[in-house]
Amino acid sequence: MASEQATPGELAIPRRSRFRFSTVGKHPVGYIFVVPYVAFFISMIAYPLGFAIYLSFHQWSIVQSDKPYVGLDNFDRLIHDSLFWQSLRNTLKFLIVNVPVTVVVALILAVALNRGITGRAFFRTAYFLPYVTAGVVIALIWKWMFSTDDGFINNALSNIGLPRIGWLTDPFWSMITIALMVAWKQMGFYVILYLGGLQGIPQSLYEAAAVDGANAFQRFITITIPQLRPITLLVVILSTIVGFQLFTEPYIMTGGGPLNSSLSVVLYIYQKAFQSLEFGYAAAIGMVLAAIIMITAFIQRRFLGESAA
Amino acid sequence: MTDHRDSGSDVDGTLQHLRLNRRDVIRGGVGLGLGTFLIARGAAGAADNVTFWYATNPNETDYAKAVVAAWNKSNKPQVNAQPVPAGNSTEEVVLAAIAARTTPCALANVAPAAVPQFGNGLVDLSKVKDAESFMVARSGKSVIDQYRSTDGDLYQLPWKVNPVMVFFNKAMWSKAGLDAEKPPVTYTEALDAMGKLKAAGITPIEPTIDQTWYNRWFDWYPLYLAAGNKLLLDDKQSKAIFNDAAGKASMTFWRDVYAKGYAPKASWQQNPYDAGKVAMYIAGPWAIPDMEKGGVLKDTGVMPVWVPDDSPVAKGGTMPNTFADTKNIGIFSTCDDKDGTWKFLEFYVSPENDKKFFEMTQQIPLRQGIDQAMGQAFFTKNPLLEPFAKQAAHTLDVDPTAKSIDIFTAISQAYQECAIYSKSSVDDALAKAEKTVNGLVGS
Repeated sequence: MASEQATPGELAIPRRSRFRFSTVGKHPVGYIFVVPYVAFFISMIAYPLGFAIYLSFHQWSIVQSDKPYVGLDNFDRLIHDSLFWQSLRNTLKFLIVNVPVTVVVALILAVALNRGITGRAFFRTAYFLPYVTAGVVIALIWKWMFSTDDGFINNALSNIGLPRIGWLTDPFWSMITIALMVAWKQMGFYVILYLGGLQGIPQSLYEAAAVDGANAFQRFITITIPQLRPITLLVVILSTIVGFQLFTEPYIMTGGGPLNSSLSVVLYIYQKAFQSLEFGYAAAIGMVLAAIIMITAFIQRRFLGESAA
Repeated sequence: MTDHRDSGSDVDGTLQHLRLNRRDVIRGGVGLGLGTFLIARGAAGAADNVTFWYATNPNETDYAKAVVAAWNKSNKPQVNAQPVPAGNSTEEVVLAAIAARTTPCALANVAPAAVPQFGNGLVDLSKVKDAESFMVARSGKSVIDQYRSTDGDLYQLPWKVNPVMVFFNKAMWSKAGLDAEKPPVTYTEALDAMGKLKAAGITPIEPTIDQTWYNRWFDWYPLYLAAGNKLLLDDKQSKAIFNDAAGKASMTFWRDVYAKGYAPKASWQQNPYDAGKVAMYIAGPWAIPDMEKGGVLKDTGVMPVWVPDDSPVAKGGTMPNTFADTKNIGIFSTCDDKDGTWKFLEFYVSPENDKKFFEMTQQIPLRQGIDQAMGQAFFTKNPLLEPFAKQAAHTLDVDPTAKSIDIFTAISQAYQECAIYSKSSVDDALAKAEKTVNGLVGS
């Protein structure tokens, strides 16, 4: 039949099959392989995100049936909430300490591990181990280590005649202590990223620089750091995002104190949702935090990315 | 030109293998049906069981396991008992469980402060057949009435009381030249004793400074109750009443304790009193087993919380009020077998099991005449429990408001600001907390 003849460049497919193919494609079984991810995306990302947006415009509690629409009230309240701004300042303080320490120490460790040092495999594993250990376990151990009275660190300081420091009980130190501890925990992952970058730098660049008389430090400054700039951009963006999501460590180690000095934005979201049962307000803070993370990542990419290009 | 059908022949061949014949379809259908049947049967079987959460305290764990095992021997529904899942507090764990609809049938660690927050997550026990009469017969009407919600109904089975008192180490007391038989009553006497302890090289007291809301139940709040004999809100639950003489006196006392260096600014992992490092510790009788393990129980005495110098209590003859730290039992509305769960709870707090509970956990069941039921021999064997049993009649709990956690969070902020870190005056800190609390309760 004429209608079933293929035109040039087109498959000779019967009309009924052509309809089916145009709807589900030539290999519908492919959908089976896509379904798990689509289901995951819908249930774990799209639905929670949509629901959070919905919540942020409502006064919503899990134990009350009345959940009225409140428009932008939650966002208006957020602007005037001094505790939200304090949690944001605390998180920025965390980032100011955590991100530079992470970048510098991870780079130094990666360069060291990239050399033929004895026990290289052991050190690579040792640095990576905290990253794959449960955050709660690490936070509990470090909470004991940082304890003012009977902690390992203060005992060590005391033994050499130095004063004990309120690592987690002094409002000045609490967030700095947490930032350093998290940098230690995450370090292994960023070292691996840097190691991958180091192994991609052509050896010929170092050889040429050596021929030109550059010493090891000059080679590090003029070759290693510029060549690793894309990796550094990645480390900065990832550690910033992780920092904005800080929760487990202050939750376990300080409860956000003392004097709210270690209250992170995400811990504040948790407190508003699960202590005050103000899920709508908590969702509004979450929306604002998501926007801040996106803008920060965009700025970082814009500035560091340009210099990396 | 390449023929698309030819180029795709390998894929088509693979797909050919995926085509199912009739036998495969029948086999698959039977398998699916059988699987569905087994899952449904499992679910039906699960409905015969109820889940029960208890506190993680080791002694309570032993008690819960023993009583649940005794119940399961010859009763239905069968009870699956497990400790409350790990979390910062039971309240937060339960709220997360309510959100995820994974609450147990019953929970034996419900703080009265949390009941209004749980809202319709808890079953109205006044509507469970014979439950209210059972509770009144066990604890007495006056006790039961304290735990009624604003609608007059009971959403919790009043279970046990842990009056907060001050433990002290008599050996350290003697070393500092203090008379262990005449412990301090007033703030001035307490500060004087602390001064002598410090002078003797002993850390007088070390409450945790952690800002989490419930920590104030073991420093400022019992002293506030002893000073003012009232809760934090007025009777209508609509206005803060703690920014008064009682609130200021108790807050000033703690400010003096920290300012004079009698208490370190510490957040400890291991209780320093149990380790024999400090002279005093504010807690309920639940702390006694750990003191025994730490080896300090033999030197331990107990005294009521201190009162302002002008308190009538200072003239003697009566005990001051303190925080009750009551823990109750609730049934969650997600439970499929509420009546069966209630029958289990009747067994859990039966006269015999209440006695067993007191013996095993050293916590006081809210049962009328429990002192007589235990007998003098029990208190002779456990001398520290006698003052707690007497103190149980002089206790106050918390306001029945859904904002209780937020209120204590505001109090905790004020306490940290003015008492621990001296960042503001007592007047300013309490005024700020009062404003916050009034905002929370709507006045």
